[in-house]
Amino acid sequence: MDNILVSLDSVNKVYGDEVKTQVLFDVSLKIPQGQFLALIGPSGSGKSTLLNILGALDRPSSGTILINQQNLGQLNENQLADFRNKFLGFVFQFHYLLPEFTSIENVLLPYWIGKGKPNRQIFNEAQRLIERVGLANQINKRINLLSGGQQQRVAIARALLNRPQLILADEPTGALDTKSGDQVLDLMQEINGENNTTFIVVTHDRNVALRAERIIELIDGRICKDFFPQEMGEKKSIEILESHACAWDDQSQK
Amino acid sequence: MLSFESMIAWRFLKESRSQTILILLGIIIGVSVQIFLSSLISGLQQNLIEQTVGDSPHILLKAQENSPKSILQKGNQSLIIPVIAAAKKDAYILSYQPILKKLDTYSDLKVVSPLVDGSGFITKAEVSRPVVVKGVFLERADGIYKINQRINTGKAVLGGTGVLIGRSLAEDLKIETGSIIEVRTSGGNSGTYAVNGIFDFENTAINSSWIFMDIYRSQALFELNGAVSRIEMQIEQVFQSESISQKIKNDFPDFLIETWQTNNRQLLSALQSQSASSYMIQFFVLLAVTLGIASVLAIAAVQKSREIGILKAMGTRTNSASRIFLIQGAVLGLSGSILGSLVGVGLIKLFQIASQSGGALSFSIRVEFRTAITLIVISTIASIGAALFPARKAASLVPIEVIRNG
Ligand SMILES: Nc1ncnc2c1ncn2[C@@H]1O[C@H](COP(=O)(O)OP(=O)(O)OP(=O)(O)O)[C@@H](O)[C@H]1O
Ligand SMILES: [Mg+2]
Repeated sequence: MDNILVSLDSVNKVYGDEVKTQVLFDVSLKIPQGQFLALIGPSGSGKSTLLNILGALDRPSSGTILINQQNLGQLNENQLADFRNKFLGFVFQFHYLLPEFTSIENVLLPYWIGKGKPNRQIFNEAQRLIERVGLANQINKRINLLSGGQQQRVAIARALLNRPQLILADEPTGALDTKSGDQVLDLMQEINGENNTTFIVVTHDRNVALRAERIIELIDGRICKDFFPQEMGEKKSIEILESHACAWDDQSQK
Repeated sequence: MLSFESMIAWRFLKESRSQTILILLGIIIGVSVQIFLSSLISGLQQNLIEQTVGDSPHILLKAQENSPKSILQKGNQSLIIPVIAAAKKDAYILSYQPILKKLDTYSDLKVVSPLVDGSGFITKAEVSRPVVVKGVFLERADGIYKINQRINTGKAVLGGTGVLIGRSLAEDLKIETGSIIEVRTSGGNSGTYAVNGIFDFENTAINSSWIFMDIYRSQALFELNGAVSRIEMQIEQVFQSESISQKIKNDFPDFLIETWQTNNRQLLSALQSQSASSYMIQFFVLLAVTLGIASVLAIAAVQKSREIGILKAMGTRTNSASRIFLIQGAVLGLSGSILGSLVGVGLIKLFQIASQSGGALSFSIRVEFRTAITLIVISTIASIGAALFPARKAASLVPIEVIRNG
């Protein structure tokens, strides 16, 4: 049996104090170590909300999350910050780099935050990562002088530096053209293969989703579909994606 | 080693250059005005005090009022009349030598000078004028009165029957060096003396009435039998007079000790209210500058909220995020106030040059190192205080808000 890295149990999320909107309904989910998972669903279905909870950036209204056997509900704010720094890497749609800093400085930030001034070895590692994402010539360029795709790749290099177990990406290719989107996805899959790093990638792009090992579709805050496209084959997978039936429909029909 | 927070703080400062310069300018102007103002006022005050007490005694040691009784008890008839006359004004110190010997051992006393102070009349060619006789040891009294420097004609010598008189008196009575004068006391004694020199104290009251005389001669003239009126002292630091006089009081509990402050209360309270208003101005300058820094930094914090959110998402702790802004405040405060102090010193130099060429400035202004350090410390603390608001903002910032709203 695979090693379970992430485990969600009946996670609910309700926003608002006076007008309450429930966004996630009893989401339960187990993600093994090394999986490349695509999270899809219509706009407003709760993908980002779920990703933020997985990323220890937000807390669920109820339910438990275990990442690497650590119950996130038991950590205080500072411990959550440290947890994010050590175990998680983030790649967001709008890349979220610091515009004042160069590529290499941005990549070094997670280390700097967690452990203080980087030594030579860490510096070389950061350099290697930037070369790895194909930006050898942009190492000392300021972030705001890079293209969107280049920035997204810097963000991936940054997410990798502290060797996190889990990388969370919210529409990492959303702002990119198809070609650079593909490059970014290739890169993430290569890293997934090399380091057995677990990826959870939120995407609107069906082609991106089909390249993942596992697809989970959220509809109105519930898991509608959960399947493995590589095992199904492309035709069957597209069929599943296009059908309107959900897992809970089966149950209610019974 | 540079901490993560200082590195980020430094980058933020460098990046928002115009804001940084704006804040620095504010601090520089504020601190330089404070330095200029406080130095000017303390220079003025120092000068005023020096002019007031520079050539007069700072501390006096006098006998208590009851001491004339002991003279009377001696039954020496010839003493009684002058002593009673004198006692209306002042009591005498009967045996001053042991006191003098002891006071000479005090290291913080610059000058110790016993004085016989008596009044009488000077007569020359049937014209007479009231005079104040100052019986002194010339070498000691010179330390207070700078007699040597103030002799216009003749020599500052008090040997034998020699005396020194003031310029106005000399002009009035047509006395020259070498003239013989007669001094008559209210008690009826008299003596004749040779004028050795004529002094100019740049003070008409003194120039027209004072006569310096050898202390032994004056004791003979007033029939004091070795007593003196008081012992006059000068110290290095005029404002230490209270603590030094306390020490003297402890050693000589039977005597009265007066300090220059006793006779200059009005001047001192005027200076005090001047200082108070200067502190008030400085306080409001500080307040204005601090509010300015606070508002600019608060705007900076809002502008940087995206960056702070990203840093927090990557694991920056709450305190760490606050520290980024506190460090900015400290850096701005420290560098701004150091620069401001330098500018303040420059302003004073300029002011001195400008007023010297106009001939208006008759005193020197010095920037006290201590004042500058105090201002630097206060300004730095105030800047850190001004950074508290953005720091709290950074602390309360939730990273998902930033990530959600871009
Ligand atoms: N802070 C909040 N307060 C109230 N409602 C919120 C908040 N954040 C999100 N929501 C609501 O929760 C629902 C899910 O939002 P979420 O951002 O998770 O959707 P999503 O699946 O990521 O959508 P998209 O594909 O457009 O990014 C939406 O209806 C949204 O309006
Ligand atoms: Mg979203």
